[in-house]
Amino acid sequence: MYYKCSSLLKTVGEMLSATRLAAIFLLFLNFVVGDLDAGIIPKLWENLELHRTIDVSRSYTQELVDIRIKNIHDEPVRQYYFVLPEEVFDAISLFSSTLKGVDAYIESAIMPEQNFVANGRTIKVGVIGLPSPIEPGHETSILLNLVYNSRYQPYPGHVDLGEEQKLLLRTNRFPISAYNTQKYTLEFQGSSSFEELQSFNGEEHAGMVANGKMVVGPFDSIMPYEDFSPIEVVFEHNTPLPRVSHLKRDIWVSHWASSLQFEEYYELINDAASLKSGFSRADYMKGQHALKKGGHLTALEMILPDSSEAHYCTDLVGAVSTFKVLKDHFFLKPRYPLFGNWKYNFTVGWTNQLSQFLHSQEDGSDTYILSFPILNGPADTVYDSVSLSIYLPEGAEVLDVWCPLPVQKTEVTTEKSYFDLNQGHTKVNIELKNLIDRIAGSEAFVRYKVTSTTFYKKPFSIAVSVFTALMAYFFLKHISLMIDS
Amino acid sequence: MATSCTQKHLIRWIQLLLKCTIFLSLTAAAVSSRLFSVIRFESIIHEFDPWFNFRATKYLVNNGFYKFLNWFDDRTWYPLGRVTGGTLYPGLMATSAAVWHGLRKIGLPIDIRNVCVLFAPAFSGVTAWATYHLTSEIKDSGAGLLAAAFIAIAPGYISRSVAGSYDNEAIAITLLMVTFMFWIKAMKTGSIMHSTFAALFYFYMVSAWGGYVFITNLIPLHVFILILMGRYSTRLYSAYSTWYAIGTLASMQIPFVGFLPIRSNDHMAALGVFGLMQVVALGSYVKSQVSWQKFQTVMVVSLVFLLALGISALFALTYFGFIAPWTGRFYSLWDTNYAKIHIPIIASVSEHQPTAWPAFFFDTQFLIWLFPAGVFLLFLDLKDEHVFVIAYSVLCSYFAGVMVRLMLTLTPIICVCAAVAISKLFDVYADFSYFFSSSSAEKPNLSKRDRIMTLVTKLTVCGSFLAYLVLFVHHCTWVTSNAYSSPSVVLPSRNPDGSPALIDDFREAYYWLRMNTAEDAKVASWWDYGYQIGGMADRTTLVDNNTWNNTHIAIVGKAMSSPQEKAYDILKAHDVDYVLVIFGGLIGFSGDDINKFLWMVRISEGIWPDEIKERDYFTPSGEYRMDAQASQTMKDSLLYKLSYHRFPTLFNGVEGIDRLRGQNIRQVDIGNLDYFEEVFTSENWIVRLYKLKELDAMGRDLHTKGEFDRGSSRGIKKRVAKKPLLDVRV
Repeated sequence: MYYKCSSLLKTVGEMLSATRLAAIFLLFLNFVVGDLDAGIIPKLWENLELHRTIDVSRSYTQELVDIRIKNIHDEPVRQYYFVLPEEVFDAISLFSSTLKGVDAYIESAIMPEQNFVANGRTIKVGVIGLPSPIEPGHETSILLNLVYNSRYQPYPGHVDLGEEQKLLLRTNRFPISAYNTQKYTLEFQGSSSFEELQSFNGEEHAGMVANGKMVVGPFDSIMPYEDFSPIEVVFEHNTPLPRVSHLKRDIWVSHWASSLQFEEYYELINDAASLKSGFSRADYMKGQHALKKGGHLTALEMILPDSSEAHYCTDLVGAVSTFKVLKDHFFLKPRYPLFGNWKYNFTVGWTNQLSQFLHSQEDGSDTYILSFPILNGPADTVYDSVSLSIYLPEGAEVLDVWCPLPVQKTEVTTEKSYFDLNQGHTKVNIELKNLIDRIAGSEAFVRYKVTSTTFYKKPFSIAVSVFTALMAYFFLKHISLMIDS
Repeated sequence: MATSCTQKHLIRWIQLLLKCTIFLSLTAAAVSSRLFSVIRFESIIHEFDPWFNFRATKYLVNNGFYKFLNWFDDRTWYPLGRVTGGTLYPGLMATSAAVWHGLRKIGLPIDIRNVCVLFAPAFSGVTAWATYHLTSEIKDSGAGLLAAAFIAIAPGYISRSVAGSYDNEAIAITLLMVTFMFWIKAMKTGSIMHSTFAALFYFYMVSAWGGYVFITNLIPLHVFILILMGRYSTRLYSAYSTWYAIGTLASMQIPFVGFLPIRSNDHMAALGVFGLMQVVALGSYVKSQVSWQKFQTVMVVSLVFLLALGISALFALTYFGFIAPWTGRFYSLWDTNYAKIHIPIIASVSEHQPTAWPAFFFDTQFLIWLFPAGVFLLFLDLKDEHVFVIAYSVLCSYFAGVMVRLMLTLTPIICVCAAVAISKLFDVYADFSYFFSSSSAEKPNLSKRDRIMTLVTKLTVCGSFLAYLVLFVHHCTWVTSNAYSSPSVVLPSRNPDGSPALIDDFREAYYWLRMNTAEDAKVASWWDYGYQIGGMADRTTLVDNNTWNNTHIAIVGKAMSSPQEKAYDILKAHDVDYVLVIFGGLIGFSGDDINKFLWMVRISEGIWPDEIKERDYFTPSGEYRMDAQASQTMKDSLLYKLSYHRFPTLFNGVEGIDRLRGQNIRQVDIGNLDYFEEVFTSENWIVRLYKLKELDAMGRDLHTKGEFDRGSSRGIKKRVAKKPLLDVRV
């Protein structure tokens, strides 16, 4: 079953204003016409100035594109097409845009199914709808915010225990744009040192390093899709690169206990540089590396919803005793420090009051709206795939599911759990991919209906079963199979 | 009349209610006293063997029963593998899988691990119930309740049935008691139904534990003694024949047992008694038909003939190999030194050691001295069923003295006999009815002084025994909580500030193995850790606790006791990727590999007496040391190097202090590790993992390569230091 989000948007209108909804508008437009030549995109604009800022301070890449555009068409134009290389699109977690100087998001979406071809390479195209059409000859400035996991490579690949870690970022040197660009600069920031791996064929293009920034350019007059030659930048990044290859997040709604139980199963891997030789505990203890900064991950910190209780942490071999909860912070020390390419799978769980998340509709129609955070994971983390399941009470009827992020798949099934003697808990499953810790604040909504009959059906069916079993025992005891008498 | 009838009814109802309450509280006591480990630690499988049972149960639950019976496990005993399905007793796993499926059916989808962890406590309640019925048959229901209470909390039984100790014994003791209960009932009444039940539970027992041989021999022994005492009866005939026929046929359905019941010497007694039974039955028929003189002649001649025939046939069949001779474990029951000399692998297991005398008191407290009293009281009565208890007591007392683990089979009968003794005592001394009876006719003519003295005597005896009972409960709780509730996978400890902490090194290292090595990596370790590696790390092992192949274990022992280059060749030949050693020197964990090392040496010496010699591992004065005085063979051995590799670095780099042995370990003795590379060491150094280095790309042997690398790094330093300031040009 698939659900559309529009009707819910109206019903939860006032709620949205109350809850903190992180504005992440990575919406997808769905229409496909096979591979198209990128030349089909009309050259209605000119980029007067394009400035890319790439921030590498996190384990994912944050790119800010500042474009000043001019309408060179003879009619007012509203749509601006922004080109994304395919590898960026595959790992994209966030794509949003604003008008410069205006603190409001404007419409922007990527066409995920539609492939375009330019210079023999596949590209994806995002559409930005300006709030009002721009008259011919007029200019405007837009800011584009892109976040994607560019899978930094450790450079040169291995480190010794305690050695500073360097990473390699590969990105396109020139803007890949559908339009002509007059002036272009590329800037890297977020690390104490930058170094271009292979200097481009002349001093003038080489990156200038100053004040913890590296600026490449400016370049003048760049043709559409002109050059795909990449730039390789090595920078210092002495922190771990945690990546959750899969997260299974289960949320159990219990009306009887009036609790909301969370259980999350993480498959965690540290993408940092791996150790040159085996892990030597002697060196690790001697150098007190547990307390030092480096590519190894010694502890995870997660922020849970307020006043959570009954925390636990287990992994595939049993309970993990090395976790601590301080207010809403959950600190976990994994069984072993995670060096580069080491993996650690674990499960954490906790319980919250249901009233924190559940809102009942006042019109007496037994409908409820559940709003819950999409992530509670550790900071500075990327997620390859997330499977989010909400288990509603047995017999609940799902009316709407709304998630602010692009959803791969939404499914409503049932699953049997404790004392589910009928069809089982209603399970809403939402599949997501390419998430980052930054969206942890955003919330998803499920609207469902539980009538009081279904509410009391469960204890009643348990009682009936127990009664039947006892009566059966009573009658069986009175059956006599003796031959004599 | 009517009032007395209703009164009787009322009393019966009260009795029933009381009994139910007593049983419920007994079960509660039995279960809750076994939960110490779950409350203190967590719901976890304990020790070693339970990890295999747990893994097998998971396999059964995931793959179904038929696949389970045909399970060939290629993840143990690499490269041989193990025909697991045909070499295990499936009763335990089948039962817990059935429980798991049953609970799912009634809407309780409990995790299979929790089913396994709580399996033994749940069954201890059933054991108490069976013991009650057994003792009721022996004496009366009062004694039965006492026996049930004793068995519910006796540490001797708890030692193998705490939550998490998911071993065959967990279910076997229950089945033992149920089988005996039905046997006594069958033997007393000659009921075919009861003996069929006895046979069915015997079959269940065969499917669950190798100790079923105890029943196979005890019941025939009982029957044999009864026949010798001249107590043959048709009841005995029908009970035994039914039990033997059905029980034997059923037991042959277990793949691991197969044709053993007619081929192995362990089972011959049952067959012999079955034959004897027929002869005796015939004899008694003849006796009823002919005169006494004639019968005597017939009896003597036929007895001599049959005995001669039977014994010679047994010898001949054994000689020609139709009947398997007794196994090593059987011999070690009679000669405690047998295993030490001939099969070190059996002797190396701590639970196969002879029992220390204090253990009897530790495990059963005051029951141990009531036990002989109970047996004596039974002797005075000596009914047919008492003979059974006496035979059981005598046999098991001996066995329990020989092997620690057989303490477990002795405990139930101690409880039964002690309950008989106490209940007899209370029958006499707790009878105060005479003081309350109103009719003067019942009062014997006694002086007032005598009456008071009798009262004082009775009160003293009852009081002291009540005190003993209270002490017993205290003792049981204390022993259970202190001695038998440690999972041994997790060790309790304290933080510097005194708060409780856990030493979780085993799981740390196993989990590292599971997460960060190739799925088909082969891990060599001493066999003790085989099941845990299979269960927690999910990696292929060379040897495990199943110990079915002594030579294979000796190979690992040989690698551990050889110098590293030789060990490397041995391990490489077996495709080993990782070597795991347990080292307790840093925090003083006493169960480490160096303390087990002599068994490795002994077992491999058994196979390669020319290459490995136990004497070489001692100092010239015959001491087992690790410090400077240790013998060169010891210092060269792989285990020494792997255990102490880089250990002195933690101290001053020259000498480290082994806290377990209290000796100074020198860096000079440890030397360099050229053939192995440390890949992981747990937080407290208990588990250390090494990887076998790859062969050198340039074809050098790894020692030369190591020397070269060390030389070149030293060389660089030297060259830097010696570099002349000016180049001399000629």
